Amino acid sequence: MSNDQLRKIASTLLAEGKVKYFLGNVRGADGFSSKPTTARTPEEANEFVWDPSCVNNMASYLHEDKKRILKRGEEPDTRPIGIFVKGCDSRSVALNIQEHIFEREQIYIVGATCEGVVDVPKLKKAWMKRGLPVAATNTLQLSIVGNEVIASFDGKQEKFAKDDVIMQRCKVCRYPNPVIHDELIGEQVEPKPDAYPDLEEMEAMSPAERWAFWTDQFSNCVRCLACRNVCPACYCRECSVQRSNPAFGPRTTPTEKMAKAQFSNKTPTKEDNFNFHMSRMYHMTGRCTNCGECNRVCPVGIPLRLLTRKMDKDVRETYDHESGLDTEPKNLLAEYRDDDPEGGFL
Amino acid sequence: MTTYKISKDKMNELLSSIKGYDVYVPTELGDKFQFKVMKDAGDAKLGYSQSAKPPKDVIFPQNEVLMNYKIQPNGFDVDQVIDSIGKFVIFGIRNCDSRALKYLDTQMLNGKYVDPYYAKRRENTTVVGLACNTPLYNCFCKSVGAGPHHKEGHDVHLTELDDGYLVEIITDKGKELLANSMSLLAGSSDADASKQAELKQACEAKFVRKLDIKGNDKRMLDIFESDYWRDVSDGCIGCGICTLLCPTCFCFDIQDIGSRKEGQRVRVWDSCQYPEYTMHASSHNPRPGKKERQRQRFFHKYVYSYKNNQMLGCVGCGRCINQCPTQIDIIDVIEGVKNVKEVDQ
Repeated sequence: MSNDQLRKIASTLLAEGKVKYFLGNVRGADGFSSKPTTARTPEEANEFVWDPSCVNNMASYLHEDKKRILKRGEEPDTRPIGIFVKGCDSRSVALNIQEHIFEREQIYIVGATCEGVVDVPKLKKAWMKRGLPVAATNTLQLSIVGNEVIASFDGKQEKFAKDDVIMQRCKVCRYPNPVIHDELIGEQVEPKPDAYPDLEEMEAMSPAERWAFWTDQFSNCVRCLACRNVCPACYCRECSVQRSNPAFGPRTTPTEKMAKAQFSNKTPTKEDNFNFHMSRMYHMTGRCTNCGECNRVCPVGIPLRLLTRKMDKDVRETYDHESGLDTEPKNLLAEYRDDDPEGGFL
Repeated sequence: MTTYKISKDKMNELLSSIKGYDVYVPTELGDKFQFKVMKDAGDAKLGYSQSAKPPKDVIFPQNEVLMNYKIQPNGFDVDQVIDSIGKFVIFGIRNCDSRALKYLDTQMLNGKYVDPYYAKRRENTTVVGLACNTPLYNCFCKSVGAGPHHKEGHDVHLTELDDGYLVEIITDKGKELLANSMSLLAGSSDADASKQAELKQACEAKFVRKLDIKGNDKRMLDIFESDYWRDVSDGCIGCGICTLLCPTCFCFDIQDIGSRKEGQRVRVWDSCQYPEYTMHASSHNPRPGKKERQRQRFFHKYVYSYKNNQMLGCVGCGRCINQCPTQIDIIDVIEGVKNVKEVDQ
C-alpha cells in the first residue's frame, strides 16, 4: 500500500533526525477529505495518508519556514524540510528552487506518481445521493483503478466513474510524475495529451464578451485572498494588495503616500477586484506551475484556472517556456536565449 | 401570529407584488447560491440549501460607503449617505443566518455605542425566514442554540410543504410587507400544521454532526497555551474564508478612497486571520502566527462571546468547515479540547 510506504519513509526520516519536520496529509474529520499537516514526530508521520483525496499542494507551506521569526536566542534549524509531493506539486517545489527561495538541499522531496485526485465535494454529493452510510466513512479508503474511483469501507466496495468525481485539473494533467524527488512512490503514470480543450469556450468569446464574463465573475469576489495564500508561487513577505493603509491625514506627506502605493484598494468593488486578480496574474506569467489550487479554494467559484491555463498556453506558444520543470535557474522575464521563438516581438 | 398558505406557483407572484423594497433572494451562483437583489421573480431559488456568502451583507455590507467628501474653496461638502439608505427584505433566510443577525445586534446595537449605519439598515430590513428541511452534511445549528425550524428573529416565517408554503406572519413589519399580497394567501388547515411538525422532526433527525459545548469554555481557557492550538492550525493557509463567510463575524476596517480633494470614506470587512489585523505601529505583532490567529477565532466564538453576551458566536451553519481549503473543522477542534492532557500552569 502507498500509505504504508509514505509512512515508513517519513517516520524513518523523522526518527533519524534527517528532516526538521515533514509536510503531508492526514485524514480529515469528515472521513472523506485529507487535511494538510506538519508531522514533527515519527508517531505523527504514521498517521499520513496518500490516496486520491490528497488535493492539497504542500509546497505553499514551505514559505512559512522563511516567514517565521526566531525567538530571542533561538538557533535556526538548518536541517532540510521533508515534503510529500504529487507530480503537479513537484513543479511548484522546483519553481521555488529555481527562484532561489530555497536551495535544493534545504528540501527533502518524497514524490508520488499520481493517477489524479478526487473533487471531494463532488464525491461527497455522489456519496449522499446513493444514500451510503456516513458513519462508515471513518474507515474509508480511496483508490483509482482504470476508469474507476473505488471507495472501500467496512469490507465493502463502492465504485464511481472516474470522470464524474475527479478534479477537472487532473483531466488535462501533463505531469503526473514528480519532476524532482529524493524518493519516489508508485509506478510511472502516462501523462494526458498536450491539449487545451478547457479553454475553447473562453477563446471563442469576443473581447467584449470576455470583458463582460470576467467583470461578472470578479464582482462575486469576497477578497478572502485564499487564491493568493494557497499559491506556492506567492511568497512575498508583504503583499502589495494588502498593506495596512491608515486614513490620510492632513500631515500625510507625498512620500508617505507613495510608500503606501497599492495596486488595488482593500474595498472589494468590481474595479478593485479586477485590479487585484489581474495584478496577481501578471505576477504569475511564466511562473505559474498550473497546480490549480487557486481554482479549488475559491469560495465563490471564480474559474481562475481558465486564466492560468490561458497564460500557460500563451507562454508556451510564444516563448517556448515552462516553469518548474527542473531546478536550473530559469525565468521567462530574466532570460535571453538565441533560439527564442521571438513570437513576442511586434 | 396568523398562519396562511400559498401554493408554489403563486410564490413568484407574491415576490413580484412586494413594492418599495430591495428584495434579496437566493439566486444561483455556479453550483452554489448567493443572495442578490431580485430583478425577476424567476431568479429566486427557494429550494436552495445554503448561500455561499451569508446574507449578513444586506445589513452590514462588505463595502459600505460611510460618506462622500469634497473640498471646496471655502470649506468642504460632506454627503452623509446614511439618509439615503432604502428598505430591504431578506427573503428566504435560514435560521442559522437570522440567529446570526441577532448576534450582530448584540455587538452593534447594545451598550454604549450604537452603530448608526447598522442600526438604520437593521431597522429598514424585513426578515422572511424559510424553514430548512434538508440540513447539509456539516450543519450543526441544533447543537449551538439555533434550529432548522426556529422562528426567532423572523418577521415572516415560511415552511415548504409538498403543495405549497405555510406563511406565518409574526410581526407588524411582516404584516406591512405582505399587505399588498393578502389576496394570494389562503387559509391553512390543521393538517398543514401537523405536516409542519412532522417535517421539523424529520429534519432534526437528519443531522449527522453534533457538538457538545457543555463546559468547553472553561476547558479552553485552561489550555490557552497548549500546543493543541498549533496542531489544529497546522494546515491553515491564513486566508480569510472562515471569517469573511462567517455570518457572525463583524470586524471591519475604515478606508479613505480617493484623493485629498474628493473621495469616499468606506467601511470594509476585515479578518483576524490576516497579519495586518493586529500589527502595531511599532511593527510588533501580538498574534504573530497562524496558531495565535486561529486560536483567537475559536476563543472569540466559543469563550469570549459567551462570557460577554451569554450567546455563542457560532450559529452552526458549517460554512467555515465546508469552505475551508484545508479542512479545518471547528466541530472537531472544539470537541477535541476535552482530550487535551496538559493544562496551563
